[in-house]
Amino acid sequence: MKRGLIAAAALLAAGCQAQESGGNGSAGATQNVEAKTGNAAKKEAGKAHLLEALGQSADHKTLANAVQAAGLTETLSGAQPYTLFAPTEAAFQKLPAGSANGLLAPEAKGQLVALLTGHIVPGVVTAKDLGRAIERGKGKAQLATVGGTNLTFSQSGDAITVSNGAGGQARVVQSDHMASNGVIHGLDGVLTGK
Amino acid sequence: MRKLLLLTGAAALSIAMPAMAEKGGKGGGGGKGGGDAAHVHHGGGGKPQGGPAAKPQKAERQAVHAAKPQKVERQAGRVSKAPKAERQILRDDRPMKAERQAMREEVKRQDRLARDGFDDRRVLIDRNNPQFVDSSGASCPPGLAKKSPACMPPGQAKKLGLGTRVQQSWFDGYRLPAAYTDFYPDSDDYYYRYDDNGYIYRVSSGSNLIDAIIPLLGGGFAVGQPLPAGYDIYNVPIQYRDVYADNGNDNYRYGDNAIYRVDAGTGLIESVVALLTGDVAVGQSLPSGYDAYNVPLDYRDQYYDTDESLYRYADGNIFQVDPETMLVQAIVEMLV
Repeated sequence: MKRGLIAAAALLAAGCQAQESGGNGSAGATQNVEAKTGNAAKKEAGKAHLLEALGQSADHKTLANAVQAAGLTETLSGAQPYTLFAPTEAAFQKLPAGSANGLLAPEAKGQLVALLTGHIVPGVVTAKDLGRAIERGKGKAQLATVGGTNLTFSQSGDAITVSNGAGGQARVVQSDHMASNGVIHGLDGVLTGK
Repeated sequence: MRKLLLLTGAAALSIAMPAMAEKGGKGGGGGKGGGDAAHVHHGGGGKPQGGPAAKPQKAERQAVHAAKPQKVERQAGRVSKAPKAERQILRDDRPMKAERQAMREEVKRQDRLARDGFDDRRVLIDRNNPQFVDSSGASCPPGLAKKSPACMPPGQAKKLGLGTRVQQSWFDGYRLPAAYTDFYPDSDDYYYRYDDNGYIYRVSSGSNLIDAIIPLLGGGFAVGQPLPAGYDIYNVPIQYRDVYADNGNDNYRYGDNAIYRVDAGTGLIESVVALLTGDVAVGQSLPSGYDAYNVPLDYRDQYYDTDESLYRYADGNIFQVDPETMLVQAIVEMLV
């Protein structure tokens, strides 16, 4: 194992108190996968639910606002467990000029829910779970989102990348921010459609 | 304890759920020992923490059931019917149809009076009163003047088009749903207004012209929006019914892969309380998208992948899957 987390941790550490970092930047995901155990994840589980965890994260302000605007606050603060693949602030900024504002613009409201639900997976999938699935799948694993799409995760060197089959791609740069009702993994990109 | 349900029973549950598209295909899996044998960290990802009303334990539910009057007792408690001849007399004593209609109208009028604070049958149109004059200067019935936007017949408000010059008074009494206030703050350039038809209007501050119309989300299901027609009947998937049951204040409805909380009085969607996938069913192949072990943390000591069985979570249930055939064998735990 397993390099310690450096860059990726820095991205989220300020806002995510409970998050354990586990990898260095793009390389972190795979290492995180191996580093994480169920026990470790359990120990990290805090009292904050997913919505609170987002709110506490300085790196997910845009996403938190989008969740609120989409009316999904009760979903992410409720009893049902979800895994949230959460684009960071940097991820939104990487969108083409105007796209970030476009996504959050009133006119794009109808697309917002589809966008967000395309980042939410039922149940709790830790980085370790994801890594094992990729290993069993000989480099690839699919997760169904509550938005009706499938996310395909694959190993690329030390990094784990994810695509939504519609042109959206990102790397998992933060992992296993445990919440009382699920887990958050940070993405360096927004999984948009074509 | 593992509650392995019979295939047939679980299949019945799945049938009771709203029909969902089967994605088909195989999930991954086949891994060994995904769980950890150490202690379960309470407050982890599994059981609800501070969620909706706690579900009574099985024994309690049985006790409640047992306390219900038996059929014979219930029948005895009913008011016995009058003989047919007497019922005929009673019917003859009822008000005539026209009278009943008049009574209904009076009840409606009283309702309007209580709601709007005035009797729109008796108020004369005051053409000098700007409240009753629309943007074109034409007068309109007081009833419509109280509508938002004013002078707009019911059902027509959503046709308020781009470029319409608005009056602030149209939106009196309506506030942006709380969920949207941070997302649509007024600025120097625009202000946002909402009516009860499920639309937010972005209005240019300088011209007061509607610059954008924002339907509150996809497919007619959105917070702050009226529930689409056809959802009068309680339809929440069976495994969620103990948690999301209609009460005097709130109703719950399932649609578009989500469960919505709806204000019983206004019919407006208040919140999305759960997002579902609806794609896992006992007796069918595990659909694609369940390659990774995803059982909530609190249940991992009990349900972890082995050579004999895989376990996957979906829509409030933990399913057992045959690693060889990838068939979903049973619901082993209902978490809600």
